[in-house]
Amino acid sequence: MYLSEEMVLHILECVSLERLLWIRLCSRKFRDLVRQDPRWLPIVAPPTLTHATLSLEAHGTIMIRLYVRYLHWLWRWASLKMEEDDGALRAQTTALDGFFALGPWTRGGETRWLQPVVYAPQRRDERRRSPRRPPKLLDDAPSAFHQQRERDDYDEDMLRTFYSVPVGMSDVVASRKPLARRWVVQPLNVRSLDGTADPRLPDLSRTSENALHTVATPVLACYLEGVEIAPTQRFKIDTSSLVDRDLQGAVTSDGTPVHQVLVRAFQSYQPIETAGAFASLVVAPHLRPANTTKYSLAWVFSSPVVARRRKSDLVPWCISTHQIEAYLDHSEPLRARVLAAMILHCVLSNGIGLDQCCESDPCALNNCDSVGESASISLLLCPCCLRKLQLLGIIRDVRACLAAMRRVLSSPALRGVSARDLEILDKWGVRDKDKDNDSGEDPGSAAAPSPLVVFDEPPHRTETSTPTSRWV
Amino acid sequence: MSELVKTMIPEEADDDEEAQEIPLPNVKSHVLSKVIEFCRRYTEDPMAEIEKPLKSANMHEVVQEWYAKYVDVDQELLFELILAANYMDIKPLLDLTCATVASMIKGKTPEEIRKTFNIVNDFTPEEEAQVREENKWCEEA
Repeated sequence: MYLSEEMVLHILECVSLERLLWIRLCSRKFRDLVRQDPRWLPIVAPPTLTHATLSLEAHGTIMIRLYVRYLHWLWRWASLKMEEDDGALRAQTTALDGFFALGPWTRGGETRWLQPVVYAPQRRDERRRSPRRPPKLLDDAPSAFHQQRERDDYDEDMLRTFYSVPVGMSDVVASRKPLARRWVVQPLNVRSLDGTADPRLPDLSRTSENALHTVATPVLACYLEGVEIAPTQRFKIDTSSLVDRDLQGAVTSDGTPVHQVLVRAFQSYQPIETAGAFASLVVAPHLRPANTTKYSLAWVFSSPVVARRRKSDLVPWCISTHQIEAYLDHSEPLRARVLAAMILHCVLSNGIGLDQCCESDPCALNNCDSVGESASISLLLCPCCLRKLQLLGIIRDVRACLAAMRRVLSSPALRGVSARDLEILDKWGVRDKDKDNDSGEDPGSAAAPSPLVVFDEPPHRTETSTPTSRWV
Repeated sequence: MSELVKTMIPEEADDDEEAQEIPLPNVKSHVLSKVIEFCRRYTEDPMAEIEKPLKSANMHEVVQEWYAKYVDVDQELLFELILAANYMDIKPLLDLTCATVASMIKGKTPEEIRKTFNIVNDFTPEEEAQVREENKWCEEA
């Protein structure tokens, strides 16, 4: 009994691409049928074909070969991780590494946003100055984003190497289960058990509270649906046993000793009407995480209120504004920006389950060792982290998310401290519509996904098997 | 459920009218009764959508128990069900039967697949070597 080609193709749809590689060894017919599977086309063009319109007819065989290389790349990545060869993982910085890191054969969600973000548009004369010269953007050229972050060489902590986890190697993406789907920002002012204020433990400053409302929460809301900021609560702790002098002897500018609150003081926090939500507790006093010694610095961003047994355990995390207030007192927008970055990092890694560090540029999940360093971290996410959130179903519309970020970054609360992020959004084609109008363009000539922002259409698409008209 | 049958029944036909004869020359009676069995069950307890590619080669982990048992038949009947589902245009049955064949492919070597489905290896040694060469990095991994 024979099945028609149509039937066989229907069967092959149920088989993974990895298996198809072997199935094509069965016979010529199978080899040819396998080649017709539209899944061979990646969600974004590979570096060498960024300016081509991908089609199965023209590029099917190339894409199958590239897919084999991708599997090998993933296998090598896993091997290096097992060997704890962080340096070798960090050294993967080429355009092809960046392409593979995106998990380009993992489908889910609308992906036209990727092309301009992964391959920022270049002028024709920049792409190829002479027909005899090869295109500039080749596999081995540096990636436009992947592990491109440069850190201050003079910082002693540079001895530590961090790397970005590819989409295809992310545990939370593989499980498709984020730790939470609701996120609460909870400002807390610490009180003694008798309800009185302790002069050693300051309340949140008006600036910080304001920043939570005008910057931090709006930034979170750009990426996540279901974010809420709770009213500031007074939280009673045993100040006699849970407060101590700063382990490293820190003092304020007037010589007053700084005191630290043990993070476990907040373990009795119970969210109001937010069961199953991830809580980011924001407090003003300096914090001392569990097991901290004077030789190990407190994590500058956030700490769990109780030790987690597994990374997947959902517990509240605590963020202190102490270091922001102490070291960034010269700029209110900068303080707001760093506080937003700290909360964003905390929620993405501990309330969703993304890996703690991503060393792509830009990325809000960049590792950070000091408040000074945190001032330079972007509020934007790299294409891989955006893609992870998209695959988790957290970001439904990436373009709308970036457009919303543009609006927040342009707000008065962040005046003067968003230039780099806005420049990146410009490069990605997320532009200010008003600016375009000033330049004399017809305001009705481009489709606007939001009233304020125009997102340039990507130059090419790769979703279908048949050649399509070019995006212009 | 069958798009083919649906098109054969006139729109104005009432339920209480005399039974109509619907010719299905390409479907053998024992296969048709199996198809009807599926349709009856589906109307009572619709089959869960099959995730592609399959997560497991075990159909019990892919669809509900009843549907997994339903396709636990010999290969010949399974292929006849595919053809009948395709001819009668019954998408859920086509999905189920095709997924079952795919589950039989999962985890098998090309040689085992050829043996299972009576496929003749018509590659020249050069052609086969070329495909193997393309898979080389994958084999190393």
